[in-house]
Amino acid sequence: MSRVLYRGRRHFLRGACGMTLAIPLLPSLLPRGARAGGTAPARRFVAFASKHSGLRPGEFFPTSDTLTESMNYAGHTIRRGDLQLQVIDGQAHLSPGLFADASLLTPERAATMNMLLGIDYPIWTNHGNGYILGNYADGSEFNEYVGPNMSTVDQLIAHSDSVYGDAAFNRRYLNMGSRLSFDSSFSWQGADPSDPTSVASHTPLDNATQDLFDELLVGFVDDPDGMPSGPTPAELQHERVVDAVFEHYRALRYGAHGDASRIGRDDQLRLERHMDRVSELQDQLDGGPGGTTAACGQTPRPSINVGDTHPGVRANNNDLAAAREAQRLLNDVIVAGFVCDATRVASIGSRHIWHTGYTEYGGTGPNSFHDGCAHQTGSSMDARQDMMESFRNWFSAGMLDLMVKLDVPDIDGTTILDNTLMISNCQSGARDHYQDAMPIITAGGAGGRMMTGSFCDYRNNGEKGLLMNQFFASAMLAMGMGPEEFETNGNPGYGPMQGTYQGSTASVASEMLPFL
Amino acid sequence: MAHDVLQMTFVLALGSVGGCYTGLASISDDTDGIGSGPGGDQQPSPDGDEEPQAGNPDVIEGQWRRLTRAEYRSTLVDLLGISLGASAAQDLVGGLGELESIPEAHVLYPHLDQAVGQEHVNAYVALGLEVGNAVAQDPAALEALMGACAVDGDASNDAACVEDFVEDFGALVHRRPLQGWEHAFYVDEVARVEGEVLSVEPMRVATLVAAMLNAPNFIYQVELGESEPDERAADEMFELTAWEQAARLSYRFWGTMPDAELREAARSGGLLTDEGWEAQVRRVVADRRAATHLTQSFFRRWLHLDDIPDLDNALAAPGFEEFSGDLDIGDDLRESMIDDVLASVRFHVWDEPGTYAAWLTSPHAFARENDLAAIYGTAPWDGVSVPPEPDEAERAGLLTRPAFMLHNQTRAHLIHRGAFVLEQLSCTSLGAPPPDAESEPFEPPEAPSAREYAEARTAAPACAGCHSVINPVGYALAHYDSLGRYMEEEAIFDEIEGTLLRHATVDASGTLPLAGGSHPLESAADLGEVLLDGPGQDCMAQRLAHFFTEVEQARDSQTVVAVAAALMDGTIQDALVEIAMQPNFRQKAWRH
Repeated sequence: MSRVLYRGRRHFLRGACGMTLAIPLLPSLLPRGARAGGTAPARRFVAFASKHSGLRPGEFFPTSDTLTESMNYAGHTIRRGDLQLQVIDGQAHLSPGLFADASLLTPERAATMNMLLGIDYPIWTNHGNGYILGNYADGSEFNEYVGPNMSTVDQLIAHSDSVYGDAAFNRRYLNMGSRLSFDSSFSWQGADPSDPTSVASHTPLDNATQDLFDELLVGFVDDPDGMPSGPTPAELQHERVVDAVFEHYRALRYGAHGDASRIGRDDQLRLERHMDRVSELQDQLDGGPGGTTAACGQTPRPSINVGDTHPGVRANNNDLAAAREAQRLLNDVIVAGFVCDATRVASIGSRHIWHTGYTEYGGTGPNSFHDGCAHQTGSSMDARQDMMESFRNWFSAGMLDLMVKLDVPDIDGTTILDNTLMISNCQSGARDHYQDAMPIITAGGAGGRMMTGSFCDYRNNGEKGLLMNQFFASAMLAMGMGPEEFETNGNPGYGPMQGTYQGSTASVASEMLPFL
Repeated sequence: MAHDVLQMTFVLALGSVGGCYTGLASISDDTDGIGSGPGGDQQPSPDGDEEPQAGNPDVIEGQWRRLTRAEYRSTLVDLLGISLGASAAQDLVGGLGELESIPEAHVLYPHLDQAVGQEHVNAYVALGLEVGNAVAQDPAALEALMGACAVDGDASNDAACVEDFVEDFGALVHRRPLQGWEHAFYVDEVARVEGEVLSVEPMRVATLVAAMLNAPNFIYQVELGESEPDERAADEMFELTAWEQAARLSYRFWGTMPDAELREAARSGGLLTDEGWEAQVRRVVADRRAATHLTQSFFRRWLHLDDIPDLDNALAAPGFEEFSGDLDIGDDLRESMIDDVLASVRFHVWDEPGTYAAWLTSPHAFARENDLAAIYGTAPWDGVSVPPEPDEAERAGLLTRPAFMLHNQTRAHLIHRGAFVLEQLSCTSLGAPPPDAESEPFEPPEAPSAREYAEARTAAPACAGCHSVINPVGYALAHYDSLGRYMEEEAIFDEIEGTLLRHATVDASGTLPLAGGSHPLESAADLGEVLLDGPGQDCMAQRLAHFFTEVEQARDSQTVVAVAAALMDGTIQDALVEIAMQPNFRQKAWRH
C-alpha cells in the first residue's frame, strides 16, 4: 500500500505570469527572524556528489501516474505529485529502483525529500566532476566544453554571510569523501570564496574524522564536567567485540588470504547481510542512527580516524563494507558539527563503486564498473540494475544515514533535518555522459524555505526540462542567499548559458524552482 | 512393483477429479510452512509451497547454514563440555539469559529459517559476551578452558597461554584448524590491546571468547571446499573439505558440532575415503545424539505434534467431563500423547532398529502416565522394560496412537484425521478448502455420529472430488473417540448443552476410490496396509529428503527413490544412512 507523504513546508507557487499563489501559512514554518520570540535554528547544507551514471528515469524516479498537478511555467507544462512510499518486504520504495530499509526510510523522513526529474545542464557535460556541483571548468580531461572555473555551490554557501552571519563557528565547511583522479574532489573553491567569478581551485579534502571531530568541538565543549561520562568497561568491551566481529567478517569476505575467492555469491551476500547487522549494532552502541542526541558533545566520536587510505574512501575500491563504515564515520563528523552548530556546510564526494560485482572502476571488460556497467546502461538491463543497486547502496549509507542521524530535535522543536538542505547529484543524467534528466534528490526543508514531499517533472511534455542553473540557485535561495550572491555575467541562476538555453527557461533561473 | 501401481493410482485418483478444494496439485501460499495438525483446524500443508524439484536431486540448496537456536545451544554445551565437563557446561549454558533471544521463526523444520535479522546478531554478540564473562570470571572454568597458565599469577607465560588457547579453542570453534590469518587476527587484533603484551586478564579473555563465538565459522556452517574457483563451473557441485563434511554430518544428524572421533577422521583424512565415510555415517546415525536430534527436529515437526490441540480447550467443551467418564485426565496428557509417538520413534529406529513397517504397525504403547495407559488399556510403561502391548484388535500402530485423535469436541473429527493421513503420511497434496467451505449451509441429521456429521458436511457435489478420498480414510479411524479411546459404540452428545443424546454403532467401512478400481477399507489396519504398499515409505522418504537437503524433492528424485527403497527393504536407520551416502551430501553448488 502506498502512503502519501504530506507536504510539510510553507510555500509560494509562482505562476507563469509572476502571480503568487499562497497556500496556508503555518507559524512554525516561518523563516528565521519572523517567528515570535526565541532564536531561530541555523540552516545547514550538505551536498552529495557522485559519478553514478545512467540512472534511467523510469527506474530512478516515481512513475508518472503519481503526477497529479500541472502548471505552465517558463513555457513548459510541468507537473508534480506527492511522493509516495510503498513498503515491500521491509523495503520502503520511493520509486521502482530507489528503496531502502523501511525502518530507516520512514514516511516522516521521506516527507522531507523531493525527487526532481527534468533538471538539465545547459552544456553537454560528458566527463568531469566539478560541474556536478557547479564548476564547469572541471568538465573533462577531454575538454569537450570548458566553462568558467568557478566555485561550487557548497563553497559559495559556506562563504556567504547570509548563512553564517555573525555566528561563531569552527569550520566554515567540511569537504570529505573520495579523492578522485588528479587528486581532486567534487568541490571547488574560488580565490575569493564569496565571489562566484573568482578563479577556483580544488577545495582541500579532509577525511581525518577524529581530528575533524575534535576540531569542531573546540570551544563548544569546554566544561569537562559537562562532557558525557566515558563508557563503562562493559560498554567498552561490548564495542570492542562488535568491532572485532565486523573486522572478522570483512576479512573473510574481502580478505586477500584466499578464502574470499572461494565464497559463492549467495554466501557473499550472507556475510554482507551479517556485516550490515553488525554495523547497525555499532551504530546502536555509538548512539545512532536514531539514537543520536541533539546535545552538543554527546554525538559519537568516530571510532577511527578515517583519513585518505581507508578502503572505504578510496575511489576505485569495491569493499562495500568498508565504504559503509567510512561513510558512517564521515556522517558522524557532520552530525557533530551540525548539532553543535560548529559548522553549517558539508560536501561529500562518493567513491565510484558501491557494488561488489565489479572489481575496479577503470579499465575495460565486465569487471570494470566504468566500462562494464556505466557504459552499458543504455543497452543492458543487468547494467542498469547494477547501477541502480550501486546508487541505492550509496544512498542508504550516505544521504539516508545522515537523514536519520539529523532527525533529532533542534533548538525550537523542529529537527535538524528540517533545518538542513541536502542535495544529491551525479555525473550523468538519463544515460551515461548525458546532461539531461539528472537524478536530483533533496532532503530537508532548509528551515522552511523549501517545500518537500514532491515528485516534480519539469520536462516539457517529456522533452527538455528546467536548468541546473536554476536548481543551484534554488539551493542557495533556500539557504537565504540572494541572486546578487550567485549570478555571474548577467546570467540568471548559477553558471553559464549556452546557445539554445538563452530562452524562457534561462530567464527564470534565479527563481526558486516551482513546486519547491 | 505392486506398490508402485497402487501408489500411482492412489495419486491419480486424487489428481484426476475436481472437488471442493482449489488446486489439488498445489497446496497454498502458506508462508510459515505450518500445515494441518492431526486435530487442529484445517490449515494449508507445508509441502507444495514450491514445486518439488524433479530431475534435480543433487542440490543441497542455500547459503551457509546459520545454526538454529537449538543447534547453537547444543554446540555451546559440547564445545564448553570438552574443557569444563558436560555437567558444568550444561549448567553454564542453561543459565544463559540471552539464549532465548535468538529469534526463531515458526517454520516446518527449524533450520529452514535462515533469516539473519538484527535481533540475531545482537543476540549472538550478547551471548558471546555472556559466555566469555562467565568462564573468564570463574577461576576454575578459566583454568579448565585455558590451562593452569591462566591462573598461576605468572605473567611471563601469559602470551604463550593466550596463543595456545587461540589455537586449540579456535580449532574447536571454527570446526577446523585455524588458518594463519585467523590465528593472527585473534591474537593481534582481539587479544592484544593497542599493542600491549598479551594477558590473561579476565576481561580480555572474555572479549576474546566473545569474538570467537561470533566468528562466521561458528555462527554459520562455512563451506568453502578446497578446489580453486576457476576449477568450478557455475551451478556445478564442488567437494567439501573433510572438516566441512564432518560438520555437515554432525549438524544434520546430531544438531551439534563434530565429536572427537569425527574430528579425528577429518584430521587424518580418513573421512574422505568411501570406507571411512560410511563407517562414520553409520556410527553417527546409530548414535543417541541422532535419536535426540532427529526425534525432535524431524519426526516431531513432520508429524505436526506441536499442532495437537491444547487439552484445556477440550476440557472446556460442553459435555467433555461426562464424555471422559471415569478417565482421570492428568495435567500432562497432551504431552504424554506426544511422548508416546516420539518414544515409538526412538524405540523402533534406535533402541530396536526396525523397518518403517515395524514402526507403523508397532504393537507397543509407550504410555508412562496412568491416564494415557488407561486410554490404551494397558499398564503404564516404566520406560525401561519392553513396552506393553494393547489389545491388537483395538490398535494398529502409529495410525491409532491417541495423539492423532485428540480433538477439542466430544465428536471426533474424521475429516481432519483423513486429511492428516493423506497429507502427512502419504504426501498427498489436497490444497486448501475454498474460502466459503466452512460457511456453506448444510443440514446434519439429528444427533449425528461423527461419521454422519462428516457425510452431511461434505455432501455437496462440489465437495465430492476431495472428500471421496479424504472421508474414507477418516472413516477407517472412526473407532477412536476424541481422546483416542477405542470404541465400538459412539456416545453422542449435544454440542451446545453437552448432554448425552444417544449411542451409535461405529461404522469404519469405506471405499478408497482409485484410478482403475477401488480399495475397501474397514479399519485402521487396512489403512496401514495401503501405506505399507509404498505410499508411506515414499512419503517418509520425501519428508526426509526435504529435511536433509532443505529442498522439497519430487517423488522420483534420486534421493527420494534411494531412501524409499531403503525404507522398503531395510531399517529406518538404513534409510538415514542412505541420505548421507548420496553424493550431494558431501558437496555444495558453486554459484558465482
